[in-house]
Amino acid sequence: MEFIKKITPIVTIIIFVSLVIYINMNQSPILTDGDFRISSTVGTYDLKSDRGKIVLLYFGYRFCPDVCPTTLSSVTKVYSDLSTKQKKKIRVVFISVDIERDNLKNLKEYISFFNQDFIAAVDTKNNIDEITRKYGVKYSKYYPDDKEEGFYTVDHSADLFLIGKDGKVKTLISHGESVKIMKNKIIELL
Amino acid sequence: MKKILLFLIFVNGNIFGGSLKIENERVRMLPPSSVATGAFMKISNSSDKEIKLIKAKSSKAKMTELHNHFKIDGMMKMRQVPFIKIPAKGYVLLKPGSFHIMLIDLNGSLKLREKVKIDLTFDNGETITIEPEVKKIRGHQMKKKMRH
Repeated sequence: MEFIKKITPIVTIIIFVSLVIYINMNQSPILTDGDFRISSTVGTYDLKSDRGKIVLLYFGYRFCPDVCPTTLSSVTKVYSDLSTKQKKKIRVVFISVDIERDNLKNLKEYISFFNQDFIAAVDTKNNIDEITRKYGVKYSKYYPDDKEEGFYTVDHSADLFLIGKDGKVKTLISHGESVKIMKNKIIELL
Repeated sequence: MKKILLFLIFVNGNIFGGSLKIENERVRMLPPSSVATGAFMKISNSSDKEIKLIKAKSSKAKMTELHNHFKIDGMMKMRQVPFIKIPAKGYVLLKPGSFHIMLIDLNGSLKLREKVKIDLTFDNGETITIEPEVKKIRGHQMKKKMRH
């Protein structure tokens, strides 16, 4: 009995700490300053100008053969199913982290393939690094040994950021999430 | 003798020729300037031995490789893999975000509904030629509940 009395507070603390960790792991990060300005296919894009809209923000690159097209295809499907009124409340922004190969001209062709309303952006390394830092996005070039010199792919964070009408990140959609769940999460914010 | 020979061909056909089935094969349509794309499919193995897909080759691309995705350090990393296992009496799905065949450095832009010839070589000595169509491929579908 004495033993149980002794360990009860310890067990309580362990349960409490575990609970706090669990809740934090499952909470959406709320950025205090996620604002950015970037050169885009529609001129300089300023996140602040989209207050009142839901912004779907994704970081990737044009040569991305599978991960980016998969997410962009899901976003395209969700977007095309929305009403005209709903579409007006949504902005889709694709930021390239491959500044060497991507430019606004080829990004325009790339993003229009998914939907004409989507915008793509690329900028100086300093600005890209500043924006990715704000969003906790990581990217890194990968040079396979067995390929021609200079050939690379880009490893990158693949979460889709859902930014609310107040400009703050409300939730993340992980790579591999179904179209249905993506749609539900977006509609919740509209 | 003829009967024995025919029997052997039949048996061999079942083990090495008819044990693999490819379904729902397709190549992802991407914008014209894309240099690489993925081929996806379901490969079923009706034999009681595991079979490995060890090579893919296509004249549509300078390099045709077997790939998978790995999430490491918060990043999605696409890497070449030496083989893709098809379990005995089972199947493997080559799908977006998972195992797939990567066509790198494409010879010309992809056209919708174009057929892309791909030779698949397996470790049982079998080679299967498929001609998947280029299609617009949607993102991930809702996961279906698996019955055990």
